[in-house]
Amino acid sequence: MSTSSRENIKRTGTRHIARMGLLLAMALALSILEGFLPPLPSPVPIRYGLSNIAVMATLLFLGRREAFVVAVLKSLFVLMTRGLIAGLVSLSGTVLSVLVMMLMDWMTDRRVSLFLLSVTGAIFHNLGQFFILVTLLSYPLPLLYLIPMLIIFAILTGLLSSSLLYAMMKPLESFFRGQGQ
Amino acid sequence: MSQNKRQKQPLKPTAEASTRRPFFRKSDLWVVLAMVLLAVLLLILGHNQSTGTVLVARIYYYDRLIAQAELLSGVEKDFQFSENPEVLIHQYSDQTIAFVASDCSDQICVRTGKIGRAGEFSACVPNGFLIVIGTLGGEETDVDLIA
Repeated sequence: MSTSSRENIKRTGTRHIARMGLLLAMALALSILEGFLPPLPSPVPIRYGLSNIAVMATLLFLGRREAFVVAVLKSLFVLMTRGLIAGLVSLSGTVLSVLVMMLMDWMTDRRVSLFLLSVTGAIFHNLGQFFILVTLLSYPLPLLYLIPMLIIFAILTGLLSSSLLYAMMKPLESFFRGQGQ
Repeated sequence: MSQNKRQKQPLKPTAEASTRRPFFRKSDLWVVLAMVLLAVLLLILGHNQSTGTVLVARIYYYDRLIAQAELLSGVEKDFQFSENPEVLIHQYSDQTIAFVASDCSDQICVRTGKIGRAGEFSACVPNGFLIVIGTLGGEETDVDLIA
């Protein structure tokens, strides 16, 4: 059996799908957990973005395509549970964020640091969400005030997400290495 | 031949590959500095544009301005609208305003709490309500008090 066909089997295999399911469950659990946390002391409504940890973990351990699938499925869950508008806002932010992270990952040949990956993802997640609010819902938001706040708080939330992911790297590595090779 | 092919293949997304990623690189600092600089420049630009001194809360239902209230010290007031009576907004005497009740599932609007500085905003996205704090000054003083 050739290397590529073995790869194909591995990627579409039950174990691979199960791993994606686990990371999707992690994303959803973190998203729900975030709902119980006190709001960020921010002048604009911004979330912690903890579920991005699961999306980044998928990107690191399973690959770009899988990270995109997990991110989209996570937003579809929001669409089903919190309604159309919240779902669209989530989807726009998540898709833009994961696409930018995938691009960075590809451009740097998987050598981008966790911190930069996380911060960039957080910035584009926020921008994607507010882009929908401004364009689709025609919200008259004060952009000159909003964009700087989004950047500053994305740096902070990105730092938080990347720190948490970095702290979980060893257990995640031993899990993925031990279960899947 | 096959070994050459294997060498040219890009790094596969495995656990081993991920361990090579550092948490932070020195070059990241320049990127973060550039981002902070951009944010500060935009804040200065935005600050120069808001020349008014009287704070005003503008309440929108999607893109439609449905109420406007000057945030004066000592004034307390409730706002409830026919668009969705479940959404309750309260103006506090300390020159702030907040969503105090909403029937939305995530309650992000209520959890945002009080806002009271120019540029701050709070939104109840599922119900389409938005509060933006601005200033009365220049052309904006022509807007009538609706609420």
